[in-house]
Amino acid sequence: MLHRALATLLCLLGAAAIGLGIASATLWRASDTLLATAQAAPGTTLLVTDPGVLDLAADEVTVQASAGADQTVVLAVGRTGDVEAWVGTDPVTRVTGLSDLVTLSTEEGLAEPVPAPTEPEPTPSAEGTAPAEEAPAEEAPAEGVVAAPDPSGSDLWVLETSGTGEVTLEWPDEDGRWSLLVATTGEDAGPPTVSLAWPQEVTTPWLVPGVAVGSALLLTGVLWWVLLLVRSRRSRRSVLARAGVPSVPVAAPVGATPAGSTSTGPGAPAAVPATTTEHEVPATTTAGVTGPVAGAPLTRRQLREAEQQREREKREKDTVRGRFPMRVAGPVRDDAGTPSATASSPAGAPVPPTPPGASAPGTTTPGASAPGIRTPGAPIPGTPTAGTPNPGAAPRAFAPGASAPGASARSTPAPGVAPAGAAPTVVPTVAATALPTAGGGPQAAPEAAEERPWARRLTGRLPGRGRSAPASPPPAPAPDPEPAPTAATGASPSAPSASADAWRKAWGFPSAATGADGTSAWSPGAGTDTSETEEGPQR
Amino acid sequence: MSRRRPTLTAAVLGALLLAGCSTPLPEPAPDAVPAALPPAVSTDQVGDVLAEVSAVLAEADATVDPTLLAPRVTGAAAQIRTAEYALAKAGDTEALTAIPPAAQTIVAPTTDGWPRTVMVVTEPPADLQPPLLLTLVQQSPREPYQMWSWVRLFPGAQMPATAQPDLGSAMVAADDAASLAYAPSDVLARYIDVLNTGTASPHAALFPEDPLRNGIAATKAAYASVVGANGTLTETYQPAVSGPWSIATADGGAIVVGAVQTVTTITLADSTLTIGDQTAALLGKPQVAQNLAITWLSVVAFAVPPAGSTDPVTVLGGEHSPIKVTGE
Repeated sequence: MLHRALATLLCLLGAAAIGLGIASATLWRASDTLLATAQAAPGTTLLVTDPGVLDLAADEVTVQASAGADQTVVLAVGRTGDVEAWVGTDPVTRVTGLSDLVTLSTEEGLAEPVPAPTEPEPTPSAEGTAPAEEAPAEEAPAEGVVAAPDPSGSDLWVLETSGTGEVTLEWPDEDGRWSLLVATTGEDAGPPTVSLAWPQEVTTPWLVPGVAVGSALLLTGVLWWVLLLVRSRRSRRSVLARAGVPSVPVAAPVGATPAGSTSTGPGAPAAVPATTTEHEVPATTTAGVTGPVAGAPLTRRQLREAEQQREREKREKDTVRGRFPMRVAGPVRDDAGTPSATASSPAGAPVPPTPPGASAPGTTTPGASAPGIRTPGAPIPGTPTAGTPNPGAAPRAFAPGASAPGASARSTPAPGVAPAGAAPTVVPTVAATALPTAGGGPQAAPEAAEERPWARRLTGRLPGRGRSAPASPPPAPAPDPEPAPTAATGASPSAPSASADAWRKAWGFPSAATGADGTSAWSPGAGTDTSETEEGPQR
Repeated sequence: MSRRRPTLTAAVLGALLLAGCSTPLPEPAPDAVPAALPPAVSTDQVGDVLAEVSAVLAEADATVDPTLLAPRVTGAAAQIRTAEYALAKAGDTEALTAIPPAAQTIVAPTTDGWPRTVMVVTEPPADLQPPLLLTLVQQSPREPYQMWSWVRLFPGAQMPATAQPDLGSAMVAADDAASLAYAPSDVLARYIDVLNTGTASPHAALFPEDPLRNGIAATKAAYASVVGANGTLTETYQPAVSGPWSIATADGGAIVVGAVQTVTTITLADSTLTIGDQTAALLGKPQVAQNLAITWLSVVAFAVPPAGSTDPVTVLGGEHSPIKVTGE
């Protein structure tokens, strides 16, 4: 839920960023011109700009001035000193800069009144000849009427234009201090209005980053959503699988494996006397190994090997059948049936199958049983009760149970009594059904082989389950360092092979799958397979 | 409390961010006032002024009406032109001095005050004729530049080097004795003294002989010989009402243009005097019986050496023209 919210948020943020980026370059794009206006103060027909105002926002400026419809407006640009000197003491409105982006700030009067132009100092001479010419030079019109001063035609201006109502002038900036003079002329001239327009270089610095970041966010959000949807669909499928399938098929493998274990179980005791006490361990381990197989999701290689294994088993079965034509299915089935029945209820499982073996050496059987249970138990949630599915917990959990097998394995040789006792006790049970078991093994095996795919498929669907199996191995028994790793890593080996091997060994057949390692009777079952499948540390 | 503070902080931060985003208002950044004054007029402006002057002259010349000169012609130029119009009206086809509108050299002033002076050396008006030195003056900001005088440069006269018009040349006050060997008005006074007393003047050495002075002396001598014993002839010289105008040259000296008013007074004792065409035209009659007063206006252009120099003042050119004749 949180993920979906976050993904949605990402999408929204991305879309917003893209939108803002585009808006910044379109909707909110700054104007291409900066246009600011001012009107001369009432009572002034002249308006001048301070130096630097004309190139305030750009080098080029377009000046537009207007006045009453029938009034003449004069625009002139000259050196600031000239303009101010020309204005002199006349009332004037001065533009000092921008007060905001559309308004020019103004003041009245010149900042520093220009000293009245010094009277041309006539040389000490008789004025007799020239007074007539000098007279017009004396500002005759200025004194007389209140006619607005007219700057047009002055030699001071470098640029000048005039017109009625509205005038426009363009001024490319030049070095130096320049001022604009706006004047309305004629009688009853009113204050002029002037606007300065500068071209602006408009940049859209947020467009690319906004769109880029927005796209990235949006893409991330969408991908996230897709991922979430896919996952949810998958999980829904798996939930279906978990809900519908497991109840029946799971039980089947459980039943099958015990059958295998029982088959090995008997085999073990039989082997014990023959080879070493360690054989007990393999029996348990192999039994235990099935657990991981069932539980762990299988790699393709494992599947392939499992397939091969199954075929091998089939072959072996045939051979065994060939050798032992006698078929005593009944008892075996019964044997298998009971454990399976019990195994199906994991909690109870630990006890029932093993007690027979456990009766004599309480230790060995629990160990054997424990793995045996684990195998079927792996897919079933209840298994943990068996105490060892979890690798991490394995050592500890196994300690009680494992100590049994480990102890039994080792102790068997050392205290000759215990094994002796164990062997007999086990043997009888087997002995009674020794042959039948053998016969039953094959029979049970097919069942297992048949059921396994189901179990595997199911377990494969259920992630994170079977890996716990490795716990089953005896915790690093001193005599044999290898078994521990093998067992630990040997989660993968398929149960059938293990059980079949054990069975084979019990009957003195060379282990088909791992012939090379035949010496350590128990390790090959689990070890070879593992080494083949994934890692072969012991080799 | 603890909740309000982050809100406040966020608000302040947001405001700061917004403030940072808004571009500051551009402020006027005028060029600094230059340490050295720029020329008060550009070459283009001088060209415009010359065109205006030419236009006014053309119009006035066409109608031979001195009143039309007022907008652009003043001072000595106006007076002389008026006399020329009188002569033209009297039938003198060569009375009008041609004033070329094209400038050969412009000497622009560097000043932020008034009056302002621009001197222009024109192209030669015709082949093998000397160029003219025009003096344009702007008395005050609201007045136009007006031609105050023109002077035909003497053949062979060497104009002193002047600064380029885009750099400008300093204006020199009429009484500026510090930067020049002699103040401009002082130069004019000394020249007048030389005119009065000739070689007897203590300043005679200051002014090498020049065509203008020689001409004035020749005219005076001619009249004196005509009058002879039948009357008396006196001639007085004085500076004109305005001027002189000065502008610095490249070597620190100055070009000084001034006007000298010469009045030739002839008093006849019981006789008549027949006067020449020009004077007669100005007078309106060819003969006087009692007296004759001829007012001449002489415009003189000097090249004054800089301060410390002992070089003589060079007379670059002169214009000598009768502007008024009275007589009975």
